[in-house]
Amino acid sequence: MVDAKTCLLSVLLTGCGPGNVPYDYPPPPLMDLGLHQAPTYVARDLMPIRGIALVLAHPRLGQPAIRRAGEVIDVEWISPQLADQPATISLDDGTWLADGAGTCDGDGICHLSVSLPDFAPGLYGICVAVGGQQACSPHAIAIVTTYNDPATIVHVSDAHIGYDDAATTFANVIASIDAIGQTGPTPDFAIFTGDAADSGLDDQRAVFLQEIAELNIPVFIVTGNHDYDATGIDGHLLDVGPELDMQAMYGGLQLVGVSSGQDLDDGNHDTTISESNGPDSSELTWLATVLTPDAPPTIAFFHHPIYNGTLATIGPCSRDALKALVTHDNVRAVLSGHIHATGVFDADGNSRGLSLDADTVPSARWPLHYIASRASRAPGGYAILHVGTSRVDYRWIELP
Amino acid sequence: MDRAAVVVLLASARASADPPLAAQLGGATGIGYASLAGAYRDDNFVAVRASVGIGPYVAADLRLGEDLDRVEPALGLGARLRPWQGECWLARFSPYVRGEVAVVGASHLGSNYDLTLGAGHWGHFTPRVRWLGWYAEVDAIARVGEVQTWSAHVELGVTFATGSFWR
Repeated sequence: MVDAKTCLLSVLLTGCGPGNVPYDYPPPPLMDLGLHQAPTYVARDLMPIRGIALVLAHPRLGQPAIRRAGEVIDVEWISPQLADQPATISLDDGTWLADGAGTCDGDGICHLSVSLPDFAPGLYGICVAVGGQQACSPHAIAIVTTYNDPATIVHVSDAHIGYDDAATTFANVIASIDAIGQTGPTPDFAIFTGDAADSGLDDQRAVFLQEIAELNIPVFIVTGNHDYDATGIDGHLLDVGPELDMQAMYGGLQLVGVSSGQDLDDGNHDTTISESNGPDSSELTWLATVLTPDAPPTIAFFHHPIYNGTLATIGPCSRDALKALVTHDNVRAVLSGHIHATGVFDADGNSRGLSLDADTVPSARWPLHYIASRASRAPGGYAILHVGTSRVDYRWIELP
Repeated sequence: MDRAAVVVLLASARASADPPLAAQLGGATGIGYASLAGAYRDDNFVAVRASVGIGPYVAADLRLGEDLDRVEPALGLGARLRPWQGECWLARFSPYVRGEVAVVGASHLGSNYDLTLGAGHWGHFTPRVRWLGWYAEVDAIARVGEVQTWSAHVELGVTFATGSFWR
């Protein structure tokens, strides 16, 4: 009832959507399409304006494919002017993987299934070449020998590159994550829950990606509100990846990430108390197809938390819907950031009996809602979680 | 008419000279229960309470609380009622009952409320120093709204009061 009132108030004040758009909201064509259709926006609007002929959409550095040798990956690229031409898929060292025209839609968004050869475990870059054009991404494929259950996951959030000495601290965080394998098992993958660039600027994003490329594990990246600042979302779509939402599998564990958008406009082109304007209806519709009651064990991740003691949460027009979507028995954990402080809640939003530092969560309380503190606040930090069929635990690691 | 005005003025002057005000600073902890979590040891809290005495038996309270283990502010309005004055007990002591409604930033600001019923004991360390006292309370708290929990807290603290508070 309170949420309904809050939403009604926000609708009256802001309209909760297009028609009242400050300059750092997503571009109007993207908002019209819906954030989930970001690749279509890239194909129709962004690539022609920027004069780009080919974009590798998936897998990429921030949206990798984790597979065992011999398994299949879906390679997606966008080439509106070259859609009828065959593509060559290779590793970034030139090792050939596949040829084919793939299956393309009317916007030149193409897919090709590629069977992975018997590569050694590790991270690999991938390239797609079409009509004399080539697009590559490092660390796009991770070859593993087995899928661990539970998976060991590093949760990092809020790099805010460009703010004070955040870049230095974030570099220390990356180095610390890379060193985990020296004293124990290497984590299976990382999840970054947004706010890479403090002002949404290209040079800030470049520093962030340079650091992320140093990671020795695959990493999944979603946007935060700061990534939209100063029209930064266009740069994100080209530099990080053209898909704002993602669904990936790590063995039997489903990973679902969405962009929770920019800060909600208060009607005067000022933001509210850090609530988001998303996920929008296109994302919620898509989420309903992947967060189904019969889905495999799932981790959902996005920037704005559903639960927080203040209003800095998922926006009032999406919160109830998103909360209902993730509150299923098969959703093990919901990871977010944004508030620059650690937060821990159970499925009902109750934080009691759960330590902020480290704890194991009983299955009755799943999904765990884990909010990671800002990684780049000195001395820096990140969380390590174990999430699987029958276990959910977490631990916050503060750098010395 | 003039006599009435004089009485009002005298009362006002007396009130402004010694208003029945009190402030309390305390800490609390306890146990709790929720359907998913089961029984648990609750967090630790700190609270500041500003009170206005309404006659010798009632006080209206404005309370600010904060969870010491996580960010969870609370703002409450309540009342305390003491069934008798100190002379019936000991001059320095006074039991009371209290009730409070608080908005609490538990899972989302504005989505959770704490309803509290409690019993406490309030008194002075020494009869000569009436501005400084102590209090101890046992509270039963029902959290309603998005999060639904039950908890029982013990709260201990010190109190600072003007001479006319609960006299």
